[in-house]
Amino acid sequence: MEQKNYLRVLDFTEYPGPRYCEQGNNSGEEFYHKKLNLEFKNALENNIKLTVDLDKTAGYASSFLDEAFGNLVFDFSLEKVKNNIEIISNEEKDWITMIFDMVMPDWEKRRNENKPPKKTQTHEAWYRFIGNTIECRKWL
Amino acid sequence: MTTNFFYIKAESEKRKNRRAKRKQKELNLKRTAIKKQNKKRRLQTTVETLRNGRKIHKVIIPIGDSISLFHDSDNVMRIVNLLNRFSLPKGLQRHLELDMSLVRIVDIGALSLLLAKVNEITKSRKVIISGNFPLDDNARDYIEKSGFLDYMIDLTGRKFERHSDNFLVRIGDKKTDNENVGYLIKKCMKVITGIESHYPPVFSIIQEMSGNSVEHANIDNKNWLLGVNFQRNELGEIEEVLFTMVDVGFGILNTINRKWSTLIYEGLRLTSKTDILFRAFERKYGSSTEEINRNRGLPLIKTISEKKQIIELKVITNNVFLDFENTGESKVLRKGLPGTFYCWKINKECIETWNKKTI
Repeated sequence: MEQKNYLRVLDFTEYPGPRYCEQGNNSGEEFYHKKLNLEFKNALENNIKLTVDLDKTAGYASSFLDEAFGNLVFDFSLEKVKNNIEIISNEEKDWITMIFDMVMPDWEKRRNENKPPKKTQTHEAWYRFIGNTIECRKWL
Repeated sequence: MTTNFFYIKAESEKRKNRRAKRKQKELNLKRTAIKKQNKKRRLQTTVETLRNGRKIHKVIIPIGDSISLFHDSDNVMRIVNLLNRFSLPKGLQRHLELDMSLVRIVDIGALSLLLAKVNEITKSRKVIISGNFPLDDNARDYIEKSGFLDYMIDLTGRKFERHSDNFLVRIGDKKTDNENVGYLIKKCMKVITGIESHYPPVFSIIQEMSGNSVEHANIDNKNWLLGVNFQRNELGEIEEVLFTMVDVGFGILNTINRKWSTLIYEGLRLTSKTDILFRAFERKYGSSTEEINRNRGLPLIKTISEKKQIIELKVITNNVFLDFENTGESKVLRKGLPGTFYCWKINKECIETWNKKTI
């Protein structure tokens, strides 16, 4: 697993927004559905790591990161995400700690309790790891 | 011995009486002052007939001599509550006039809150709001330079001239306004450092605050206001930038979710409201959304303050005032605020702290 896919939040937006699409532009929900879900699925299929770079944007609300990486755990499981993702945040190292130590375990709990995330906009079909395969459909 | 005893007792009695009289006198003075104050603050209400024959209910709200969230928060709450009371759709259309003529002490916190309230009322209800300037030159100057007048027109219907770079800006309505916030921060950074750049700690906390506001505010009247006030030193150079953020909504204490066991425990320990609010900033409670992955925003704001990436963070929400640097100054207020007010400052040292951290 030497090769890596690279995803910069800055390529999505310089000004990351709130948690949900209904709350504002460039939300965590939108970032997940437009970028993160597909990029992670590609990395997983090719058995390479996905590097997500959080630097050079204006900053983040914790809810943006929670919704984006939380949805990822909900759809792919904590184990798959931890093993296949790398997060770069040189400007604010605390984001990495928050995502790995708080966001991901909380969302794994949600996943186990089958409490699906709220979707505030209709999204195109997205990927989810079910059993041993990756399926693409409108899950909610 | 006995005579002496009576003599001493009589002296102590006299002292006691003198003390009681002095106390009574002080009390009377206080009562008279309050009566005078109330007289000054008494509302005048009249019914006026407009040129088209329509009648309108005019209420003059005397502001008093101070409109300052930090020096006289009770008076600010009184004004906000009066605005609320008289803006209810009942009977004739209302014209509320804010009489600011006696104002001598004024601060940006109170002006932001007042503006947010006026925005809310005029947006959702048919109410006209007007006001006059303080007679005191300093107070008038402060208001003119605060950015408050950017939202007002004069009697001829014209906009007021801008007197400074300070501004009060509505960031969003039903949605957060990330780009606008980002640009404003870049502008502030240029003023302090000479270079237009991002400052993620401030962007993050504004996003947290407006995110909370969007999520918990009442649907029709979502309204939050960001104030930026450039603070100059004796040489007239800008040394610090004061940010204020007002969210007219439910307030933090009404949006946290405390378990029954926590309520009972805190009740038995007589936990004060300041402690409860402080604990909310430490993620000790759940969110009213009852999702486990929530409530990271308030702790983030506290952490940014602790790391000195911002300074002098103060919060007023519901009836609690929290001072993060001087915790002893935190207190429970007599009157409650309908929402949350934050203020903090940044200066060169804060930016250096942030830059050092990211090297």
